[in-house]
Amino acid sequence: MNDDVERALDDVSEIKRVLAFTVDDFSSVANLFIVTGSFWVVKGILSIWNMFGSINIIVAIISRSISFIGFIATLCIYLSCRKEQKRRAKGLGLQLIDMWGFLFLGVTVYARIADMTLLLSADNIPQHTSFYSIFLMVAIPLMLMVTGILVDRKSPKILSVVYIISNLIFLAFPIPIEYSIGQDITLYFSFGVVLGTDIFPGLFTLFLGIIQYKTGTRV
Amino acid sequence: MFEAISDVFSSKIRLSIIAALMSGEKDFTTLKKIITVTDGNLGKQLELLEAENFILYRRELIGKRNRTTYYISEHGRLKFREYVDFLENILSGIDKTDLE
Repeated sequence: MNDDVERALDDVSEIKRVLAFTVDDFSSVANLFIVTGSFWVVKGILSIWNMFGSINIIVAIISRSISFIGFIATLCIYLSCRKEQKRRAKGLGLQLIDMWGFLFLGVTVYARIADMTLLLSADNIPQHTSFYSIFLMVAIPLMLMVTGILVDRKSPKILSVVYIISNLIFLAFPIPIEYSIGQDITLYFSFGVVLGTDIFPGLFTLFLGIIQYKTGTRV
Repeated sequence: MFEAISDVFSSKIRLSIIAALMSGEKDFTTLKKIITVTDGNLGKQLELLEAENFILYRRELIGKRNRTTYYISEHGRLKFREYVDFLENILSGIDKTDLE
């Protein structure tokens, strides 16, 4: 192998090394969305399961455990992605991780604190659920829209619009459901509110993760 | 063959700076992180690239500190593409067995 070829190979590998550091690769960020979204959806399905008929204590325990494991998993992925993005000097990836990480971890912490407070007074559960659902109804599409603008892609913006429309349909046509919490106490929820607390945020987060994973790299 | 092409790319550091700036503007600290080089050496190579009109810069006052952001010029972008084509030509002209 002559000197020119050797130098050309050296230069190509150096260019590739630098590009790997500077190209915005969102596929690692996608893990955060996929894992958090999946846990959110599973928890949502279990919560809805318990709304029909009497409460199944095993399902309730699994639902709580899933929520806790999901929080730990989200925290671990958030910290590892953040470290990776910081090491590689990728500003945009870091912004995305921080933005979504704070939302995912923040809402879970809020929900758990609210749960503990509400155990003392069951009357406030519907108001809390509605507030939580409305907060996510605004926060998730807003974050999707900001993500779409930051990564300069249409798909997160489209997801944002679909999210708003899906929520509005359920708000316009509320389906009331009964939720027995035991001791002869029955609460009434709108099905849309129930979907808005876990299923919708989880599904759309999952979709965003899959899109980011598939479209991964952007120069 | 390399003598025929611009002397700017004869240094690995200069090549890395241009490659890093191809994906967008970067400040001094970010470039230092990517290229792993001393402040003095990086500053010297940046000055040289600026003198050759391969890169441009702008200074901003952030709080009480100055931040210099570097970006590639049209001339630099063109020369980098030419250099990549040049490398491609060298490598396409060899047998794969030569690489082993």
